[in-house]
Amino acid sequence: MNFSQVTQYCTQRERYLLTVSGLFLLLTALTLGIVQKSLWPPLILLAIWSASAFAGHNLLNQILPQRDPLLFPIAMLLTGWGLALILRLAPVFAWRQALWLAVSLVAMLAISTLPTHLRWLRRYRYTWLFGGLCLLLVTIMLGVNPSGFGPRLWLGLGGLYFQPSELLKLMLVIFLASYLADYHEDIHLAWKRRRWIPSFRAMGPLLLMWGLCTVMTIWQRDLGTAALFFIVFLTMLYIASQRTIYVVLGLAMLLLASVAAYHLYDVVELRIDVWLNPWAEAGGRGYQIVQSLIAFSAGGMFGQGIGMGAPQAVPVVQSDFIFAAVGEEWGLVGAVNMIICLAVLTMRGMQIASLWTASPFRMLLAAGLSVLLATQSLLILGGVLKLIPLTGVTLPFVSYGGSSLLINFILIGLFLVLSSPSASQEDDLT
Amino acid sequence: MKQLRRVSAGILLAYMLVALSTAYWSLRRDELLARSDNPRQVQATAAIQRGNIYDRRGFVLATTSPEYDGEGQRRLYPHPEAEPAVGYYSMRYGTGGVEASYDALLSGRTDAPSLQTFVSELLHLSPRGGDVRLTLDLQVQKAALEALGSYHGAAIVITTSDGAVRAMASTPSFNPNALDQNWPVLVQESDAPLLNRVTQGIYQPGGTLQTSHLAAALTRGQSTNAPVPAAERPVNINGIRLSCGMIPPLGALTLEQAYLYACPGAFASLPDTPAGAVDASFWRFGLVTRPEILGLVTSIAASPLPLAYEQEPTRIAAGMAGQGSLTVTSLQILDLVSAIANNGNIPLYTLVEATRSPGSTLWTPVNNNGLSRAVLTRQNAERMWEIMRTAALEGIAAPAQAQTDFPLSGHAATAYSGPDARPLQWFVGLIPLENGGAVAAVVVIENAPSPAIAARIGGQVLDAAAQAFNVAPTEMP
Repeated sequence: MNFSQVTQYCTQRERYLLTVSGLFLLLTALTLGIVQKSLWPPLILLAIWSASAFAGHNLLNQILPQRDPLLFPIAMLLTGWGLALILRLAPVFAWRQALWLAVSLVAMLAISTLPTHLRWLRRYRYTWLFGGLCLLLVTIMLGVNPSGFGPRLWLGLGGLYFQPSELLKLMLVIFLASYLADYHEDIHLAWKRRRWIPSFRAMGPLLLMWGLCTVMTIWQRDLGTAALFFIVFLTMLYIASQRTIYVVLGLAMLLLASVAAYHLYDVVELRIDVWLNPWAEAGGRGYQIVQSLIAFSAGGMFGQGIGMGAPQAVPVVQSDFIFAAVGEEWGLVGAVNMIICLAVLTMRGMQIASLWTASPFRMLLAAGLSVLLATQSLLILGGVLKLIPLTGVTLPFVSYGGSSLLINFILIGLFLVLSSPSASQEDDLT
Repeated sequence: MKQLRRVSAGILLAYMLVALSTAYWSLRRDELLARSDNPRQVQATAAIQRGNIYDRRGFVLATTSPEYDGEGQRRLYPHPEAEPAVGYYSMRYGTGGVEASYDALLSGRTDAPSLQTFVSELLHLSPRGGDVRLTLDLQVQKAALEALGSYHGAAIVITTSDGAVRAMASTPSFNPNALDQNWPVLVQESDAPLLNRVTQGIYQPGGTLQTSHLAAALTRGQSTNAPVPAAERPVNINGIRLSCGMIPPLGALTLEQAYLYACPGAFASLPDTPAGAVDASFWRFGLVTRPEILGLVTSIAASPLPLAYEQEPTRIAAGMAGQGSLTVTSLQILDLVSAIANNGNIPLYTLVEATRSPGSTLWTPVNNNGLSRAVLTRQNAERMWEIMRTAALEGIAAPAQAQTDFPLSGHAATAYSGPDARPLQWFVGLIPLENGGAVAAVVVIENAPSPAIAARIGGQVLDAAAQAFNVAPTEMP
C-alpha cells in the first residue's frame, strides 16, 4: 500500500471503531436515562464524548495520519464506558470527569503535535523525573485529600485536584527508557565479563532514582504506586539487559520487601490478611472485597443492566472498584470485554515496541508504557477479584480520577507518536 | 525480540487469569448471593409491591404504600384490629399470620416459569404481589375486640356451615403499623402481646371439657338424665376446690343438670365410664390433635398422657375435670361446638376465601371442598344443642343470652392454671342463622374472676356475628 492508501485505511478503521463505540455508548446512555428517569444527563455526557471523539479523530488525521487505528478508539471507548458508570454511581463526579476528558484530549493532541523525534523527551530525562519528584515533594508537604480523609495524595487548585504520583509514573518510564537506552549494553555485558553487578556508573543513578521514587511513595502510604514502580522498573530492566537473573533477583527482593512491609506497615498487614481470608471479616475489614465479589456473582453471565444492579454496596465503587460495577451491571460478558480492551491496548503498545528494536529508546519507551498500563490494570483487576492483595490504584481510563485519565491520554499520545512511521529516529542521537 | 515476546506473553497470561477469575466468581453465584450480608436480597424484597389483604366485604386490611421511600415500601394496616388474623409484615422482624402463610402470593413469588416472569426479570420490573381475601368480617372482628376490652384472652367466631372464620381476636394486641418501632418493647412485655392467643394460646380446659363429656356420654348411649350422686358437691383436685359455676337447685342433679350449672363433681368421676373411653372421646373431638385452619399455622400442646395409663384415681379425676396434663387451644375447643351446630360434623376451618394473581381482576376461591369430620350423630348433636340452649336460658350461659335477642345456646366454665391456680374462664356458644347453619364462638379469658364474664363477652360476640350473617353482606362500593 502506498502512503495515501495506508492513511485512508487508518482513518477509516479508526472512524469505524469510534462509531461502534459511540453506538454502544448511545445504547448505554439511553438505558441509563430510562432507568434513572432522566435522559438529559447521559445524553449531554454522550454529546461531550462524541465531540471529543470527533475532534480527536479529525485532528489526529492531520497530525499523525498513519497512526495505529486501534489506540484512540479503545481509549475513548473505555473512557466513555467509565463516564457512564460514574454518572450512574456518583453523578456529581461525572461532570468533573467529562471536564478532565476534554483536558486529557488536549494533552494527547499536544503530545502528538510535538516534534516526532522525541529528542526533547530523551535528552531532559533528569529534568522530567526531578520535576515529577518535586511535585511529589510538594504533595507530601501540602497535599490534600478531596474527600477530607485518607492519604493526602492530591494537590488542589481552584476545585480541581491533581495526583502528582500519576505524573511520576510516566516520568519514571521516560527516565528509565532514556537511561536504559544509554546503558543497556553495559548492563548486558556485565554478565559476560563475569561481573555479578554492573558498574555503579551504569546502575547507580538508575537505582537511586527508583529508590527515591519508591521511598517517597511509601512515605505517602501509596503502596499501589510503589508496587507499580517496582514492577515497571524490573520489566524494563529485563527487556534492556536481556537477563532473566534481574527478574529472579527482583522478585526475590520484592518477596523480601513484602515480608518486611507486612511486619512494618499496618496497612500492608491489613491488605494481606484481608486478601487471604476476607470472609472472616466480611462485616469489617473485608467488607469492601466481599461486596466486590458478591457484585460479580450478582452480575452473572449478562449482568443486571446499567442502573439495575446494586454496586453501590461496594465502598468507593466509582474509583478503585469500578470493575466490580462492570461485573454486576454488564456481567461476565461485559467484564471480559473490558479486559480484552485493556489487553488489546497493552498488546498494541508491545507491538509498537517490537517495531523499534533498532531504536532502544523508542522500544523501551513503548514497552515501558505498555507495562505501566498493563501493571496498573492488572493490579486493580486482580485486587478487586481477590487474585492478589488489593492495591489502591485506578483502572486506566475507566475509574473516576482526573489525574489518572490525563496521564493515560498522554500515554496514548506517546503511543500514537511511536506508532507513526513518519517519526524519525533522531532521538537516538543524544 | 525474545524479551518483548516473553513480557507480552506474561501480560496476556495475567489478563487471562483475571478473566478466568471473573468467571469463577460468576459461577459461585448461588453461594455468594445467599449470604446474609448481600444487600441485594433486601433491596429486591423492598422493591416488591406487596399485594393487599381484604376482609370478606372488601375492606382493605393490609396494603402497601405506593411510593418507594428508599428504605422499602411501607406496609399499611388501615384496620389494625384485624392483626390476629392478618398478622404483620416487617423487613426487619419477618412475617406473621396470613402475611406469613400467603407470603409467596403476596410478594409475587412464583416457581412456575412464565413469560411475564421472564419479561419482569429482563426489564427489572419490581414484582407485584397478588391479593388475598379473607373470610373475616371486619365488623364482627371489631365487635370481638371491643367485647374483650381490657381482658386478656381470645375469641374466635366461625360460620359452621362452611367453617369460615369470621372473627379472630386476641388481647392484648399490638399495632402492626408501628411494629418496627415497638418490637423491642413488645418482646419484653409480660402480657405477651405478640402471642396470638387464638392459634398459639395453650390453656387448661377445666370445666369446658364438660361439653365433651356430655357429648361422649350421649354417644356411648349412657343415660344423661339419671341422678348422679354428689353431683352438686365441690371436688378437690390437686388442692384446688372446684365447685359449680352457679348455684344449682336443691336436690340430686342429673348429668345434664350438672352441665347446665357447670358442676364439676358430676364429671370428675363419671360413673361406668372407663378412662380409655374418655381418651377416645378426646381424640374424637379433636382435643389432642392439631387444629387446622386453611391459611394459618396453628399450635398444639405436647401430647398428654392418656388417662387409661394413669394409676391414681386423683390424677384420673384431674384429667376428667380438665385440670390434668391435657391442655388445649381455643380452636380445639371450637371443634365440638361447630360439630353440634353442623349436624355432628366438624368443618375444615378456612380463613382465606379467595386469592387473586398479580394484575388479575378475577378471584380464585380457596375451596375447602366441603371437608368435614363426623364426630356426633345428628340426633346427639341436636340434643347437645338443646341442652346448651337450656344452659343459656336458665343456666351457666344466661349472661350470654342477656346480650342478644337471638336464640343463643352455650356453656361457660372455669379452669385453673399454673402453680398459683389462676382462674381462666371459658365460653362456648352458638346462634342459629336464618339461612341455615349457625355462628359458633369460643371465648377464653385469662384474668376474669367468673365464667359469667366470658359468657357476657361470648354473647356480645355472637350477637354481632348473628347480626352480620343474618343479612346479606354489603359489598364495598
